[in-house]
Amino acid sequence: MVTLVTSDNEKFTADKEVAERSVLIKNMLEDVGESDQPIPLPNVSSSVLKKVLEYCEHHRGEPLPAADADTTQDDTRKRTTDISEWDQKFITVDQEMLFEIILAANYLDIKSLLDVGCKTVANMIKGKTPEEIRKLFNIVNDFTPEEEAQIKKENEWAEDR
Amino acid sequence: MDLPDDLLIAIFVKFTVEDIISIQQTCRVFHAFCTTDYIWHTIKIDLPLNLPHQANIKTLSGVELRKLSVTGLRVDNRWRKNPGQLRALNQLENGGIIEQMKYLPPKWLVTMSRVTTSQGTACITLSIWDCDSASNAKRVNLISFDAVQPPTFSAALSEDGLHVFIVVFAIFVPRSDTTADALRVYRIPLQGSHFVDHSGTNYLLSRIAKSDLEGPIFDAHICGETVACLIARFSTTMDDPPTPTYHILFLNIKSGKYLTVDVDVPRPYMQLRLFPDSYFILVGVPMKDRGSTIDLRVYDGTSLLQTLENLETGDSSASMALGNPCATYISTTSGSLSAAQVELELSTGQCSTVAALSFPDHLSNQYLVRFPVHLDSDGITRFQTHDEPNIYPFQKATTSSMVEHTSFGVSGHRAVWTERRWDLESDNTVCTIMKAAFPTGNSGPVIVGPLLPNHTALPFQIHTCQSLALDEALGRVFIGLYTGDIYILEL
Repeated sequence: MVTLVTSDNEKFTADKEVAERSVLIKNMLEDVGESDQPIPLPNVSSSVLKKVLEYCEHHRGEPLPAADADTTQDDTRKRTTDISEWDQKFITVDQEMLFEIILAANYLDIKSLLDVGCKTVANMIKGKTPEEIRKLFNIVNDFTPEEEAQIKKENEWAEDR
Repeated sequence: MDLPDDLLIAIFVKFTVEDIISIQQTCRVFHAFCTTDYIWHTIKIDLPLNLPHQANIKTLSGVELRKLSVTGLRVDNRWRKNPGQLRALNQLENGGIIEQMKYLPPKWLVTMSRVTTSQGTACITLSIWDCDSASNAKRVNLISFDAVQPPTFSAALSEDGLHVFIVVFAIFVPRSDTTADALRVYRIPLQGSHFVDHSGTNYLLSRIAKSDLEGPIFDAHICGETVACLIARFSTTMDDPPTPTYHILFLNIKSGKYLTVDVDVPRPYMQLRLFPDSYFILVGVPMKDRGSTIDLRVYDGTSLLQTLENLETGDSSASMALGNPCATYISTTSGSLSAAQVELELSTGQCSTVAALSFPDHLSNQYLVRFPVHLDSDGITRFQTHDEPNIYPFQKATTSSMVEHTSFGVSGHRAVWTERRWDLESDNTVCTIMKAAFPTGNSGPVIVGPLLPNHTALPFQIHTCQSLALDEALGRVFIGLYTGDIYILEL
């Protein structure tokens, strides 16, 4: 078992096999060797780590993607926005949590989870107009009206949209 | 989206072209992000783009790719509308009968017209048109020559984009000092030369005499500097109907060297296409009442073309085996098939698909076949031999109509064809131009419909159409008429 300590000082214990789905944790364990020392994760809060461990638990035993994955394979993975049913249910969270999960997956180096998070954002904006995207992510429109009109004209492709 | 830059990029590269174009209009930061070369080189652009000759996506900037993509999306949107709407119509006056046309992106149209001479032979004219602006298309060069019967041509742009190579095959009228040619390759400059080559010899690059071949050329295709010809050999014992065996002749147009390969899977009505990165495809179509399969075989010709290149000058021809196909598709249709027509257009690179379209007559089902391919680390197209091709069935307008002329976009996203049917009410033939838009991904509907709304006023009769060409990326349809005119329809 491995003990993990979150930014809000909560302790989590997880099977080594589950925790090691995070390349960061795996490397840390390799560096310190066999020890009962808890591992501090100052960038991850308890609510997010709970979700992340849920993900790792579900996917335990699955082969990890190679560190230097073949580029062509990498390409296809990067491009498809298909998400498995369980992952889809798992990632149905509010926007703040979604971005927290993406940040944590990036920090903890869990490639497959990062991928699910990024695909989810891509799916959220699919087919949306710029105004709908601004509303969705609270993006402030900082173009001048002239700039906005110009950019709109340059990029208009659907006459009936 | 309060995320560090590297995570934003990780998210953005998963976007579609439409979504990148939308999100860059939201704010300044995203606008800057979404015009970077990295984003445009990494996202999947599954859309026919009017790229400059020989350019690939990685050689263009993010700004250029965004512009090309917006144009591509506009065309795509119009092309999916049913029925289409005619935005512009322009006319080219050529003369003769426009027998065949081929569009070579980014802007060249090659036409072949025929006038029957008083001696009963055909006077053939090959013209090249600059169609950069449809309203101001100009003929940049032409050649003409006599032939016993109307030939067929295949054309390709030279690597530097300054010449068009045209392969013409048929039986030519022998000149006093030569034997009849079965095939000729012309190299025609696209600029700087404006004289009519009436003898058809000034631009002649390579030729194969009829006497050098064992039988007639059934099909020929040029790609890069290689020409492949499908040559039929009829056995001396008379079969009924006679079933030929085939071999393929690969000719290097620069060196004039060639080698032949026996085709060990003969099918009646074979067709052949070469395409970039050394692949070639063979299609066999059933003969009347001889079963109901069409088979498509893709071969890797890398070693063949290497052997061709390494041939010693003294030894100008060699023979090799065809080997096993690297991908196949065999269709089985229910019911009996009469002779079918297969329209092939092959392309790799940008959209990474390979497609073939077939129009078996008297059947309502047509289909598009896309072989999954990928680019390897050297940028060479490779077939995924273990993957099944994607099949997209679609329908003609009327089951009883005959498909007459077809043209298929080079990336397999769009097609046009003409259909002719007998209308009982008016006791007359009715001709329609149809269009199809195929899905960009692996799934989605095929959108089929008339190119133009019914009763669109046109300055010509559709039934006088003799040939078709399609500029897929800009959505322009070229219609070659029996009357010698060519019309450019823009959706």
